[in-house]
Amino acid sequence: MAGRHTPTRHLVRAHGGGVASLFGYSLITARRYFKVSAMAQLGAPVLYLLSLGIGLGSIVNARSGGQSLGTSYLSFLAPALIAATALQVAVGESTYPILFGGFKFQRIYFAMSATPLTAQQIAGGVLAWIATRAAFSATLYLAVVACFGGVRSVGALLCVPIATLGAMALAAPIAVYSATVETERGGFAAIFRFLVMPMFLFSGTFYPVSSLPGWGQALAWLSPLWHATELARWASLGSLQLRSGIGQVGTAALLGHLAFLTALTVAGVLLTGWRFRVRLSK
Amino acid sequence: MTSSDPPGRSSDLAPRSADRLRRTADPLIEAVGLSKRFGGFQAVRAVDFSVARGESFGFLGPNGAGKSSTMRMVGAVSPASGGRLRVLGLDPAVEGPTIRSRLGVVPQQDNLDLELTVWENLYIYGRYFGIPKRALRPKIEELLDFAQLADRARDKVEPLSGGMKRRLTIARSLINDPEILLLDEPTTGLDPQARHVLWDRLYRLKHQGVTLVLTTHYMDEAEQLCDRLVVMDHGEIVAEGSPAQLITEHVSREVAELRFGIDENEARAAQVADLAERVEVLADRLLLYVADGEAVLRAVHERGLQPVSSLVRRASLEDVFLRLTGRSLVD
Repeated sequence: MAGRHTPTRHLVRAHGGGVASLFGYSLITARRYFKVSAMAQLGAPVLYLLSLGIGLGSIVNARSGGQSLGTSYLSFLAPALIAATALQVAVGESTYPILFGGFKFQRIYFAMSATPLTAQQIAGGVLAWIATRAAFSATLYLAVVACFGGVRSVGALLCVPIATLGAMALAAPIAVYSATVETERGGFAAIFRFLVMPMFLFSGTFYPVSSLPGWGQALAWLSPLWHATELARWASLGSLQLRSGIGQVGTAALLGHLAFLTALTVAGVLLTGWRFRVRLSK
Repeated sequence: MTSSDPPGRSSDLAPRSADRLRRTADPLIEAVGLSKRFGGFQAVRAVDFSVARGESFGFLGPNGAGKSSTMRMVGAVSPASGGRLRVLGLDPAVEGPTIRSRLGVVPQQDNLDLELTVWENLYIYGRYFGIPKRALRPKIEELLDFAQLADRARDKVEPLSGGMKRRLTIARSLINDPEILLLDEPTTGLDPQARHVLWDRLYRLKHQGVTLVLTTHYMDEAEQLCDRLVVMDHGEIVAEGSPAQLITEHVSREVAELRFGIDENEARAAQVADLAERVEVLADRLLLYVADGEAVLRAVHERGLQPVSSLVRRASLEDVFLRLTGRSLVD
């Protein structure tokens, strides 16, 4: 600045760069890890689809499973795996990065809060980025499924927004927790072990929940992943009118699934904004 | 208005004096009865202060005095629990984003993004203010020169030294040409050389007319940088003035320090008390507040007292603080 001064004061916007500038930040950060994370996100579906869709699928298909499903096991499994992957990615992003990078160690949210950005915008930017990550994973997964021949209708494209909504229905409420806890004492590990993992196993991913006893079905009702899986199967297989009834969802049920996921997401987004405001304004 | 002005002419003030009046009447920051509570803990207790444009204003006090809480209220991030606060004439409770768009903030703890490069840290911060990409490139170049970090622009932040990180944080706070720069403990944790580099940078900003508001628990920092300061203790302002004024008002011109050995200091204090305006007994030494330190040292020796060591120095803000609170600043 010795003798030089580049004025920027007149260019500053009283309400700042908004969520778009936060998004720009996330993109810069992600660019660094893009190759590694894209490889990981292609590798996982390839492994899953090879072992479960093709490997386990060959047994299921050969032993009348294919008949009772009315479609290949791969095409039955794929929509559920897309939803489950988006959910895992989103939950991952809504735990450690928020508490550690945002509030505790690098404290980047505190840096943001000293600018015109509001706490709600910061929370919104964080959640919008998590949704983008989930959608990106779902898209890659769908592409891999298509390569394996597991896509049977154009409707399968809807799996991406559905999986993203399902992911946020869990990730946004978890973000509320991450923005609230002062010290991490294994809470995140518990979320993965006792919430995400059982959800993955018991939400109709590998078999219809109708195979579960009554109480198991009732529990599935509480799982955002089950609602997302039902919707994803409806989008992928519904138009095929399978005799097994797989992918058939009535209008009322359709609205019910959407309402449940939307309600959880909206509540999570609002409460995250509130927790960010409380924590950043101490 | 001078005393020779006839009464009743105040409405005919010349434009220049009217302007001067308005400037003193409209400080950049004004707090009246400002308070901050955290649950049952009262961090700031009804403090009054105001900062004028172009001034360097400091909050001096030990850790936990309420300095940072006050700064966070002025920075429009932490709402006041009571009292009235105006920053740039605006109410932080209502116009937080607008106020923050015109401030620069250097927090006590660096919160740079360690995984990004030096350049990227400045860039994203500028974007938060809504500054277009085009304008940011030359601005970042200028700030990197100012912070003496031009050759580290493409390096990640993580491996930088503490002093470099601090300079980057200051550069970052200037991205929006702030009208007020808030610095919370700007040199705490830095080695002496890094502190001097930083003071030099801040001194340049002060010369460019940037209004500086800083907190510190280093009296040398306050003396170097502040035109005016308030001394805070237990959430209250206990004194206000320029460093020189505070010293004149609250302590003598010079201080004679005598060390008799830990067990003896207390006993010797009585023997020299009449030589000084005031004697302060610390754990390791006696402080004699006097007008002429050398003369007092001679008088001490004439009484046959032989301190292990002694020195004479000018009184400092440290002495002011000790006088006002009975405690030292850095413990």
